[in-house]
Amino acid sequence: MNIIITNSNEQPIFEQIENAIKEAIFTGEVKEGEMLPSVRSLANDLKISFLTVKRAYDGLEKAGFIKTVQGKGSYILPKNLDLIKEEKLKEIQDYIEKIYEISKISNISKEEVAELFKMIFEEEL
Amino acid sequence: MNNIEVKNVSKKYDGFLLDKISFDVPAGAIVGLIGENGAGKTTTIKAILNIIKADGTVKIFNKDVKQNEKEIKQNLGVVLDDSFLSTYLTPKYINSVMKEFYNDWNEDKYYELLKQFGLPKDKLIKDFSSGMQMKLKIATAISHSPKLLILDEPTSGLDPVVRSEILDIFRKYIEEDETRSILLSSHITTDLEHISDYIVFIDKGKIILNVPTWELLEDYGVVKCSQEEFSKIKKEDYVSYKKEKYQYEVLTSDKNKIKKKYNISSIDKPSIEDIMLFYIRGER
Amino acid sequence: MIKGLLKKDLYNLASYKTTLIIVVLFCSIAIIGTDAIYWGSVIIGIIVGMISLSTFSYDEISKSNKYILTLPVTRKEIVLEKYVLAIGATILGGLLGFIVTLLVGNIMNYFRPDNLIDINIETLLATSVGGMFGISLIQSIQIPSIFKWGAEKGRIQMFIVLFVLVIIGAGAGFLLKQSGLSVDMKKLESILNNFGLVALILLSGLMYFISYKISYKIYKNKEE
Repeated sequence: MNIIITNSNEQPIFEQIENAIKEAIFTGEVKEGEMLPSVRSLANDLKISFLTVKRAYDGLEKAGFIKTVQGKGSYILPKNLDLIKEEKLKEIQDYIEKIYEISKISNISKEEVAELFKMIFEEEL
Repeated sequence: MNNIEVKNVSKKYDGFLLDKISFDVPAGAIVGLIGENGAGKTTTIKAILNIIKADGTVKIFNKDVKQNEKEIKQNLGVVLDDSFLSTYLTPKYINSVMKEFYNDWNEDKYYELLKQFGLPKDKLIKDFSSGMQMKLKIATAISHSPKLLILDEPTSGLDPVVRSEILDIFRKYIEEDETRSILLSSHITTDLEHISDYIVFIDKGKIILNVPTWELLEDYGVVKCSQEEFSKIKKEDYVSYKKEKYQYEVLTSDKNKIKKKYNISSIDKPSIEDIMLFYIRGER
Repeated sequence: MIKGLLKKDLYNLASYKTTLIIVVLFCSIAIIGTDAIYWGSVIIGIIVGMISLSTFSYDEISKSNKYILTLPVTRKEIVLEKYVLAIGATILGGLLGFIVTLLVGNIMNYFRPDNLIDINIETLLATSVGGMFGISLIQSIQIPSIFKWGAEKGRIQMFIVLFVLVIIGAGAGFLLKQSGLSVDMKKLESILNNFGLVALILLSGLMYFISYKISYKIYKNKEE
C-alpha cells in the first residue's frame, strides 16, 4: 500500500491518509479482513503524530470502510453494497462495449443484438 | 490514562518565576516541551523529577512523586543535557553500576543498543563525541525498559544525521509498548514537528499553548496582507500579528475560518518555530 | 542502591591505583631511611583516607549529582554512601599503613642485622589508630562542607575550619603551659594504650555520626 503525504498539499494530512487507504481498498490492494498497521507504527513510518493517523482511522471507521477493535487494531470491512453495485455496473458496461464493437465490425444490427439479449434473459425464466 | 500529571507547579528563583504550570503526558503520547532558553523548560523537568523543591503536585503513574519517589524512578528513564553518572567511566562500567540501581536492568539489551549505536564498550566516556555521549545516555535510559522517558534537550548540539537517528530510537521505543510515554524538551522545534503528538509551549515561566501537534501544523496559518486588509480582520480572528516593512503578517489558529470570512485566497503554512515567534514577538 | 553508588565511586578512583603504589613505595623508602618509622603508617593512612574524598570532585566534574537524583536512590542513601566510602578508606588506610610499616621494617631488619630498627607493635598500633582518628576528624569536617559548598569551594572552607581548630588547639596548649600545669607524656601514653584506642575509635564513630546527620540535613534540601 502506498501512502504518500506531502506538506505542500492544501489537503490536511489526515485526509491524505484517508484517501490513500480508500484507494487501496477500491483497487483491492488491501482486502476485507486485512489488518491495517497500528496507529503508532503508521505514525512512526510516516514520521507524523499518532493523533493525525488516529483522526484518519476514525474518519474511515465513520465512513464504514474499517472497524477498530480496542486493543486489537483496525481491519478492513467488507466493501459496502452501493459501492459494489457501482463496480459491477461498470464491469457490465465494459462487456457491453465489447459487444457493441463486435456487432459494429460484423455488421450485426442493434435489433439482432437486442433479440439475443431478450432470448438469454427469457430462457432463464 | 496519564503517565504524568503536572498541576499548579510553581518555582521561584531570583528574577524567574515558574508560574502555576499544569499539563499532562498521556499514555502512548510523545509530548514536546518548547520555549526559548531560560523560559522554564529545564526547571519544569527538574520539578517533575523532584530534583528541586517546587510548589504544586506532580503525579507520575498516578502517584505523587514526592511520596513514591523510589518506586516511580524504577520505571523512569532520564536523559539530562549536561549531567551523567560519570564521564570517567567506560560504557562497560556503566552497565556494572546501573544494574545495581534498576531491578529490571537488561544487560543484553544494553549491549545490543551499544552495538546498534556503534559505541565502544571500553572507551572512557569523556573521550566520546557529543553525539556518542547522547546515544550512550539514551541507551542507558532505556535499558531497563522504563514506562516513561524524560529527556532534557536530547538533540541539542548534534548534527542532523545523529538527530534523526535519535528520533528513530524514540519512535521505536514507543512503538514497542504503546502505554509508554515520552516527555522531551527542545528548542529545536523541527525535531518536535516530526515526533511529538502534543506541544506544550512555555514562555517566561508560563504555559501559553498546549495543543496536539497536528493542530499547529494544519489549523494554524499566516496571512500576509496590506495594512488596509489587516484593518478589516477582527481581533478575535487572529492570535497575533507582526508589522513588517512592506506587509502585515497575521497568525491565525483557524485558517479555514479566516479564509472564508475575509475571502483570503492564500495562507502560508507556518512552522512551529514561526508560531513560537508569533507568540513571543508578535503584537495583539 | 548504595552498592551502585559505591561501584561508581570505586571505578572513578580506579585511576588512583598507580598513585597509591607510588605512595606506598615512597613511604617504604622513607621508613628505611629514617628512624621515624611510625610516620610511614600515618602518611599512608592519611593519603588513602583523603583519596576517598576526591570522589566528590569527580562527581562535580561530571555533574553527576543531578543525574544521580533521577535514579531510584534516596537523598539519605546518597549521603550515607559517601560516609561508607570515607570510613572504608580510613580503615583501609590505617590497616595498609600498619602492615606496610611492619613488613618493611622487618624485612630491613632481616637484611641489615647491624642496623636494627626498633619496631614496637603497641606504639605502631597507637600511631595507626591515632592517624585514623586524624583522618576521621578531617573527613567529618570536610564532608558536610563539601555537601554545603561543593568540592572546590568546600576545600577552601575546610582549610579555614582546620586553621581555626589549629589556632584554638595551639592557644589551648599555650594557655596550659602558661598556667604551669605539666602534662606527663608517659602517663598520657599509658592511658592511651590502655583504653585510649577504644576511646579514640568510639570518638571517631561519634564524629562520623554527627557529621552524617549534618550532611543529610544539608543535602536533604539541596537543589542541583
